[in-house]
Amino acid sequence: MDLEALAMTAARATVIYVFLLVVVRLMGKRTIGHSTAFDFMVALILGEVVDEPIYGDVPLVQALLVIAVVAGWHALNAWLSYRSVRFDHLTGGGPAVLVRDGVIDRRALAAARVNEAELWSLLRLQQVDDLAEVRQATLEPNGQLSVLRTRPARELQKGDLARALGRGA
Amino acid sequence: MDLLAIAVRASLTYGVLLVLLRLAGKRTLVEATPFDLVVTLVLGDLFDDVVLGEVEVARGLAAFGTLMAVHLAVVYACYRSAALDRLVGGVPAALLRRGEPDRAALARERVNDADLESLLRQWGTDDRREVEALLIEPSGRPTVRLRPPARPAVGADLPAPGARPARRAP
Repeated sequence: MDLEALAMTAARATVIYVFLLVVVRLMGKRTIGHSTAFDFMVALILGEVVDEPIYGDVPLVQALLVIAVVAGWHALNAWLSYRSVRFDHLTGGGPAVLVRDGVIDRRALAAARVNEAELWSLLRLQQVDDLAEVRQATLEPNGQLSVLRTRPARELQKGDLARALGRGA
Repeated sequence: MDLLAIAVRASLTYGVLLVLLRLAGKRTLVEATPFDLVVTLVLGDLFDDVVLGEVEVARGLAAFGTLMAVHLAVVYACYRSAALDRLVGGVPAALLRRGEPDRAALARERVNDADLESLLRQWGTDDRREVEALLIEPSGRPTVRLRPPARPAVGADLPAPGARPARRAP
């Protein structure tokens, strides 16, 4: 193993590091990562594409091109999703209301491919074990379940206490 | 390359990765920002070629060591210089202030109204008036500061022991 090959490996790794840093930074905070499953996939693609160019099995310029093209398409996708909620829901998936006023929406459950056992598991993660406490439970585009509780089941707020103690809201 | 050699390489790689990531520190690769996530993925990706014997161990270590060193240098420089930190990591973006959306910030962060509602629901509210501020942190995660009446009640909100309850005139 000669030192020149090692130095070239180090140089290519540095170039790719800087290029990735600039590209990811330009993409914005919510475009790469965990906003949706696809955002995570894009992060995986960008991360997985660079081992061969770093080791010199593929020309560096090809790797930079792949990164730029994938990032470019994803930036366009993010911009179109911002401009059009319909496009956003088409590519990212819209929110799905699974429970409304304590009643499970079976059709929404089927469309979201969530069975009832999974729904209960998701609800327990939000510390809910009684549907009567749920005003609305939504499967969000990022795959998380959000729960809005009914007023009596909601945690006590400062305003509630102030009213109860007769201090006004 | 025989299977035993692959198993040995995989085991050594696992151990080396464990030590190196431990040395790198907690905040360096825990997805503090989207870029940290990408760097973590790149580092993990460098090793399959070594394990499967397509790349010599020395070259694998050179690549891994370089990336790790450059990343640590950048992280350290960001820690020392707030200006560089803003450049590399970005600053929190306020999408809502006193219940009012900041259109320019929403456009910059590519967050549409449906996204905004989704973020609020995940914070347990669908009423913008309860919101003092909604920030997108440099990590890409949202944080919500509620207005005082909507904040959780705490012990200090209770009347002091012995204090008389307020009485309203009839």
